[in-house]
Amino acid sequence: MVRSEAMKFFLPATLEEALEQKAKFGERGRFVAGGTDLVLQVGNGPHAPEALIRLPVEEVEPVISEGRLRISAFTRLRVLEKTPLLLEHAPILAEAIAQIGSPQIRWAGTLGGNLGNASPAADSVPPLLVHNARIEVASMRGKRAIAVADFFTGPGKSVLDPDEAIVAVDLPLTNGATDVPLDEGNVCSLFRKFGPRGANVISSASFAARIVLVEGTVTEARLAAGSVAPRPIRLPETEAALQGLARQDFASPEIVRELSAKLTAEVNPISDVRGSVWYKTQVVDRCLHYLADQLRPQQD
Amino acid sequence: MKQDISFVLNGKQVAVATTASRRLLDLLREELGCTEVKEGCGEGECGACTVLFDGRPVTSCVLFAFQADGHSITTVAGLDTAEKKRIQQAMIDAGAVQCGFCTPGFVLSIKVLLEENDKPDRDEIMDAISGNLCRCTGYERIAVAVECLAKGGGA
Repeated sequence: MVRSEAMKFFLPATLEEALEQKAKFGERGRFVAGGTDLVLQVGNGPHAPEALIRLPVEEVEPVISEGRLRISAFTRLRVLEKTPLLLEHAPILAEAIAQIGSPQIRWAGTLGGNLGNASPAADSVPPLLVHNARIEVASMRGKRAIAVADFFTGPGKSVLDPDEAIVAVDLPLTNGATDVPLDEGNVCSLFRKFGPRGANVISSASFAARIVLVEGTVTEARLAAGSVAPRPIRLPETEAALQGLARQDFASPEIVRELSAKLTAEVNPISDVRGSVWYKTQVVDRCLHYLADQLRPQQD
Repeated sequence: MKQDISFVLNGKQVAVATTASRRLLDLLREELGCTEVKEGCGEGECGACTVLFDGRPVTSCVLFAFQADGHSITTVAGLDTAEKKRIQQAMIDAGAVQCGFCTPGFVLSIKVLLEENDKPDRDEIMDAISGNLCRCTGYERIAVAVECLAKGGGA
């Protein structure tokens, strides 16, 4: 590491040029997308990289290609929260993005930046997890796609190699593993983020759910949570317990209690400035209860 | 080590040298005399340092100065005079300014909101100013000023 005065910046004209620079510097270089988190990290000396390499930032709408919704990683977050394709196919992703930082942070920041930063509290991740999204990364060596579930390894850490940049995120337009076409099942999806105020907070805990019901029975359940483990996580035990439940089962306090026990055993938060272990666990547990309320047959 | 960048500042092309770690906020205030851009929290939370980056509101305390290269930056001083006067007058009429430290940031957020949506409702107003903190007015008067602007006031 070098003193910040010796740090250089690069303004590549193309993505290829940016990848070339990053390959040269490896771990001693950092990509800058929106910059909103990185400025605070490198501003103060000891962790200063040798090179800051600017990535393009753009305002392009997602596209549908080969049955997947493809989002450029360089897109400003503020654009994504209002984009019609996202609101239609992944409304909880748009909802989560709309709760990142402030309008100013979302105009500067990009989806790739939110992922590359690898915060356990990154709000875009729980919805991407329940959508079985993939992250497409590129380097001079080529491209590869990584499942979001396999991407993060710990706070600030991911499987991204030092010469790689996140270039896109894509998600399937079907209900995933079971490939139920969207119009053949009822989908119940939910995103909740908790913090001291509505804007500009890092989540104390967040929760995303995507439940597919066919003829009133859960055929597929995907749950994810943020800020309750070293990385955003799926909740496979609770998901398995949801599988096959009928809507009226959610009216049973015993069944909801069993689901709640599974969930609270699966999360592993730490106590920090954003809440205690007890608080964060309670928050995700209340989200599960809220989800159960949504799934229970509604009385007219 | 300083490197050269150039960008459009309030409609004029500027060329300036900067270190890699320098924040856009500091470059604007210390090199380019834009003291209308205020530093509050320094963490991108209070919105006092809001500037327009290619017409979009951003907090200049969490941007590197070099990110501006080849782009356009507008501070509250660079707004069209008639437009600025109109927003200012609405804020004065509504009592939306007390100490005034947050005001340049609010004016820019309000300008962008009205550009996108000339008849914002209360929720849309509160969303648009959610990245600007004001410790004096309690926001009500600021929201009233925007509602007055949406009805053609402030002239």
